[in-house]
Amino acid sequence: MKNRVVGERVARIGIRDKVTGHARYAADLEIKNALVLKVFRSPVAHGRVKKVMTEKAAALEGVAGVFTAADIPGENLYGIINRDQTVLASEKVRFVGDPVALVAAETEEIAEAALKAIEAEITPLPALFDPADAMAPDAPAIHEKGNILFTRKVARGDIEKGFADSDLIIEETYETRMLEHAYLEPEAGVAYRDETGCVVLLVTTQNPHADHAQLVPILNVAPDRLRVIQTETGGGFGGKLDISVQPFLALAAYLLKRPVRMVYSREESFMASAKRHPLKIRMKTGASREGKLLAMESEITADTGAYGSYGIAVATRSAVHATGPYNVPNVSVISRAVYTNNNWCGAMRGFGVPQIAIAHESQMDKLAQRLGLDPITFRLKNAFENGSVTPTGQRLEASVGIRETLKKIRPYYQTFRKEIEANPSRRYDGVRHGVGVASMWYGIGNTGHPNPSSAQMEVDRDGVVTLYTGAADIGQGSDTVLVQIAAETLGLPYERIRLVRADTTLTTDAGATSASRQTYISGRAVQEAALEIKRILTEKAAGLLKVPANMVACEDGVFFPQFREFQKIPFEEVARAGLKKGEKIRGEGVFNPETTSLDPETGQGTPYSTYAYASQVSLVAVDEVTGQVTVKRTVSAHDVGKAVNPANVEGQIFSGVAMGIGMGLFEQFYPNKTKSFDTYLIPTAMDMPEITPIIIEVPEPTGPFGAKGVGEPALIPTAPAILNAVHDATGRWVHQIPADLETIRELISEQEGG
Amino acid sequence: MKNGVLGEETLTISMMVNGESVVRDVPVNRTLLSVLREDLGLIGAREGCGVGECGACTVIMNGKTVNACMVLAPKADGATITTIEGLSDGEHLHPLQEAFIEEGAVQCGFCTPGMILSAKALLDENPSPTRLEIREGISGNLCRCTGYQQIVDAIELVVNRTEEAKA
Amino acid sequence: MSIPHFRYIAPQTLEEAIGLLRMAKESGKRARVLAGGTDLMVQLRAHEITPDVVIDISGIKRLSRVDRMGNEIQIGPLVTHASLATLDLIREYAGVLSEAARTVGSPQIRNLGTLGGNIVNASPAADTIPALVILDARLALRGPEGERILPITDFFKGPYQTVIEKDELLTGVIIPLPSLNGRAVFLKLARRKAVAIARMNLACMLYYDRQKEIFEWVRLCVGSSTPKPVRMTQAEKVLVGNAYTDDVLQEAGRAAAEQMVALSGFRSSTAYKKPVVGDLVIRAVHLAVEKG
Ligand SMILES: Cc1cc2nc3c(=O)[nH]c(=O)nc-3n(C[C@H](O)[C@H](O)[C@H](O)COP(=O)(O)OP(=O)(O)OC[C@H]3O[C@@H](n4cnc5c(N)ncnc54)[C@H](O)[C@@H]3O)c2cc1C
Ligand code: FES
Ligand code: FES
Repeated sequence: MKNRVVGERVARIGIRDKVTGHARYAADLEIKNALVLKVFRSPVAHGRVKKVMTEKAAALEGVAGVFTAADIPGENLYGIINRDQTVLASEKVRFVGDPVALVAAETEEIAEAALKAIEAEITPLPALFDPADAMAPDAPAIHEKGNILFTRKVARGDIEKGFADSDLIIEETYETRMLEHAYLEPEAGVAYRDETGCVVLLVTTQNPHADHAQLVPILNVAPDRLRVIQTETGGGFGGKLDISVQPFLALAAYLLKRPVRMVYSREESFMASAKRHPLKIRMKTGASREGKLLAMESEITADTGAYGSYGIAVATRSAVHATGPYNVPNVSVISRAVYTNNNWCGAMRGFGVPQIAIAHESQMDKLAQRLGLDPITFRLKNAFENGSVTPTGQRLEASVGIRETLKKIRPYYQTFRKEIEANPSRRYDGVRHGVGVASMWYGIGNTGHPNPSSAQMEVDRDGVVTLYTGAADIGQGSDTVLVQIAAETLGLPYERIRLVRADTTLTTDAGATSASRQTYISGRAVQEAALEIKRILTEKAAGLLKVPANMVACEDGVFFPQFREFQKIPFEEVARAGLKKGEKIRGEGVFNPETTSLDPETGQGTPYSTYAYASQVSLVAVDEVTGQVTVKRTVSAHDVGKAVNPANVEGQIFSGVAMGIGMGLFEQFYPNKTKSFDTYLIPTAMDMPEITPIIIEVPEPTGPFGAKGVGEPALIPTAPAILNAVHDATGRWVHQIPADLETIRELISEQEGG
Repeated sequence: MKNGVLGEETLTISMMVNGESVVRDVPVNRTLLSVLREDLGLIGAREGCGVGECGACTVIMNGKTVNACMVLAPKADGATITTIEGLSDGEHLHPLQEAFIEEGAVQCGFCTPGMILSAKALLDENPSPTRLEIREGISGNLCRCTGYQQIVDAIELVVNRTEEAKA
Repeated sequence: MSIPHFRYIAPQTLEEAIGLLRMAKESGKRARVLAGGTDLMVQLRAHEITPDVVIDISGIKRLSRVDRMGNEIQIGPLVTHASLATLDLIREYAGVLSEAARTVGSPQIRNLGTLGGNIVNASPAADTIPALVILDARLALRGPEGERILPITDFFKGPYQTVIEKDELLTGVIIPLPSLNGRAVFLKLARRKAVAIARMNLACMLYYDRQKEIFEWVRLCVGSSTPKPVRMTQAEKVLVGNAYTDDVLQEAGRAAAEQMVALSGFRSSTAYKKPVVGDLVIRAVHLAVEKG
């Protein structure tokens, strides 16, 4: 039977409110008598907190409360993977911006005045800004347990033999920079106590259930005394996985028993929120004369800044993905996340994989060049296929679309080549063109950890179907996709399904909106819930139609016996049959993809149950005078298993390319210097090429309708393809991003000089 | 000048907002953005940066797009202002709004109102822009979600429809 | 982030405005002129400035005019970048200023931001200034004592520093109509294609006599590179009287680079800017010659 809803470009849920301006984000919520919250932040990068004097601030007219660590009822500690972050600094501050005191006041102006009245005595300690310094044996400890947060090793085969057998070995060091998510909506939320005293938070977030789990011990309340509801969220990209305004809102609402609101300015958002880990990657790759990869060794250092956040995940993911989507029999990787006194780094679209892809894809092009192979042929010689074994020893059984993606971009690669040859550069215009290719693989879901999702569905007597999911739609479109999956499974029109989402009281945990996991994992949970409803209703319909259940079908909201389609019963009639008033039919679905934890010494195991694959080709122009790189065209082919909503998938691809162009060409966050969008430049519409998205569907048997994920994969190959294209244009390899004006001009000058 | 004091701390400003006349007393150190959002409840204009860089606060003032965060409230005295809320009557959407829906040009939606208003101002001035001119026209509106392509497609769709309707 | 408290006043005439500025000065009040606000609002939000009074001149009609008077055009300081980019009078007689204005910020910023604000703010990266320098623009300043007119290059003291008095207003920008049939080019180099402050910008106007095969005259100004805007006289000298050859262009480029370093000293950005300024001068001269 053909799908009717899955695979269709249905309009997004909530889109009408977004185009009319009626959608309410957290900052738009009206809440009467709310106090305004502001945070006093550390002016020093590393220091011991001696004393925080709040009396003057508290005495100001209009100040309702000033809080320090001492006022926290529960544990002053949180962190998504390892708990190392304080809500308000008690003993130490570890970066410029670390929260020290919280002010609640009647107006923003009073709150700002109160901040000025707070005096903090902080004894500066030696601060470390480079992971190399932080790893030195005599380095001052930023955290008690030492400065190395985590080490991940991946070892497979015999690395020494692998290099001994190699005819060609390439070794290089790559560096990436700290990046800001730059979601357009700064962090914001409101909180109040409801009539039962329960603290209710309405907040922009990627994971209300994790927020809840972290806030409960801070407040030291019973879990049902706190409720977190996700508001419309203006983008996240990983940056709204960690809690931001949440503990401040919860604390003030709880202690003051008054409604409160907190909206970060862009400047505060930049200062206080997580960043993308800058990575330093040494990579050594060996291949045979025939073009087979034989060995890959890598040492990765991630600067996690002041706090761990998702540092462990980044260290692990970069290690696990370090070969790229290629068969490499001998692998040795060591990857570390290291504390410094820089801004803390957390999750950002791809968790280290966009960074490591720069290394493995540059290595691939270098090898291809030395072997005299074109970049696509060389990749095809080594790309995974069904039956391939990954560096963690996992046998890939299905849905390995990497070869398809390479084959699909090949014609574009050739066309771009011809275009360049037909248009040689002219005198003084100083422009050189180049074409670059890059591929990627990306494990869907948390790495080597259980990451279940759950969902419920209900049908009432009127045939109203409600889907309950804890999944937070942050703009990527999970609401739409989950409803499509439910509608398809039930044989209902898409519009018939009501959605209740991301509310810790009304929905159960669906896990984070991260790791490109919601379509695959929550989608499957929704499908399971819908299947249960369908089973119940089908039996009822079978009774009404007096045919065996296996003969009953439902399409467009109508049940009918197959081969006797004229005998129809509407969905709502089937639902009502036998249901008493107030009774509901319920279905529940849970899905937890099969993974195993990774061996601590060798990293062997099954980190993910499925992977997405992609390849991209970009045509760039390099201005040899200014060093400016312009991306002229991009073609991006993605194996997504199944595109539940092709328009959404394409949207993710365009989005990923944009973020990749920023990452590759100009984005760079300087701790304590970058304040706002005036110096943190993200691409404008003028910086974007026309993009051709290509969707490839190699179904994943465990995914809903075969679907995997695309959110992060969309970004990953972009910057590497650009760097390879810059090499094609200039003959120079770029080993660090961003490939900005200065970097490129210098590379070209070196070439002219030497 | 009263007692050696120059100027006022609060002013009465009157504006035409989305076709309705509005009179408000406002402290002079506020922005048009905060007046629209907080006093008039027109939350479709959003603050993404407050420093003129992102365009999320874009409104049309006297026929031209401006960053409402860059306009001191008293400057709006006597102005005619269109915000996203003024583009449709609630029932019928503006063709640009329709096109944004059809092309899937919206993800998180935070940039969308500003984007649509920039597109409107562009088309009012130049009804048949090229794709590059469309990109220029929305270059003051940052979007982190969409990569802009479906937005450009949506605006182009309106251009094509208008041309077809004329033909 | 809230904006500091101040008082606000919007004079409707020039005389009134200058009177207010004088009063403020005499009473020791910090006054700030407000035009489009695109620089001022940013500074206010950051609490970089905390004026006692903001004097909004945008209601003074005559400051928004563009007129041709004999062989000059007079541009009011309130003319926006959007108008500079589109007005026929400017495009025809000061095309390079139009081109420069078109590169400022975004459409929204160009609708608000004014020529006067761009000049008085005196950012080294201001895009209209190099264009005004090569157009030989003069500025009219008006204070309680009357008007003074000075060449634009005399207006700047350094980055964000000018000779304008606390009680003076910039009231006009005067551009002589170019007597010779010059060709002009404006180049802007930035990290991004829109809404980007110039890493470097350059205006060039020249007349190349194709019969005689010599540069008759050349005016070059590079922004974002020197403490205050100046003509790249060394490079101009190299070109004038010489033919359009690779050697001459290269030498002009070198001369421009050297003059820039002589004026700005060696900074961290010099490693990049020195070679680039030379090459951009070459590019600009080439493009101007190609124009006709
Ligand atoms: C997002 C953004 C992007 C920008 N991009 C660019 C760019 O690409 N290129 C560029 O050059 N600039 C850029 N700017 C800076 C700014 O827009 C321009 O400098 C603009 O021309 C300033 O004009 P204004 O009328 O807005 O000035 P205002 O902010 O009103 O005033 C600026 C200064 O000039 C003084 N002043 C203004 N008019 C007069 C007068 N007639 N007499 C005396 N003093 C006066 C004011 O007191 C103030 O000190 C950008 C700004 C923003 C916010
Ligand atoms: S909020 Fe006005 S431009 Fe960003
Ligand atoms: S849709 Fe999210 S910023 Fe544009």
